[in-house]
Amino acid sequence: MAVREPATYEEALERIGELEEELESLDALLLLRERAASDDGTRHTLEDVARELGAEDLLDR
Amino acid sequence: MIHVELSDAARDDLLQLREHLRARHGAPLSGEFAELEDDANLLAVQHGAIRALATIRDNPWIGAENRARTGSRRIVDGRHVYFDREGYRGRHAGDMRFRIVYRLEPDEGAPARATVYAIAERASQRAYKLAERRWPRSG
Repeated sequence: MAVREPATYEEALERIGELEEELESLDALLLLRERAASDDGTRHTLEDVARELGAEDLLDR
Repeated sequence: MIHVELSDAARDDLLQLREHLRARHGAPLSGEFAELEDDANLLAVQHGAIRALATIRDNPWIGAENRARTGSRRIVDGRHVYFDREGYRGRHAGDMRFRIVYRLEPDEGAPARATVYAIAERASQRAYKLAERRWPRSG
């Protein structure tokens, strides 16, 4: 990644904001990768997951 | 009728479906997934998954065997079903964009439960790849 020297204080603040956003995206990506690679043995019932999605009625048949 | 359980990662697949798709396909979503930027469509797809999981609960063997898929290794003893939101029209009749990969446990013959290991888009065989990483190593 090329380093861009901010010319002014305002530009520096703007650049800091951009970098913070990039870091948040990287954090999110790392979290997703963790999820992709792991199974810690925790289980969730279909009923609980349906409830989280407001879809309990779809199970009644 | 048997119990259906989702691994922690599979639950996350479903509840964070849009975020996972964005991470893999870019944001905002485009092409066949563009409509999932709309909350109502996203929820409709998630409800489609719940319907599919209910069909597994009612008929554990409804999913096609993974062994029919070439390239499978660890997940050969599992099954998969497809799902989408009601009313979705793909390029072909009956097209569905998503896949659930599960395993009947403790065994296929007399299952007590179906454990879901991955829920993801069919594109790039994503659900199979996730399931391969999460599949139990034995028994």
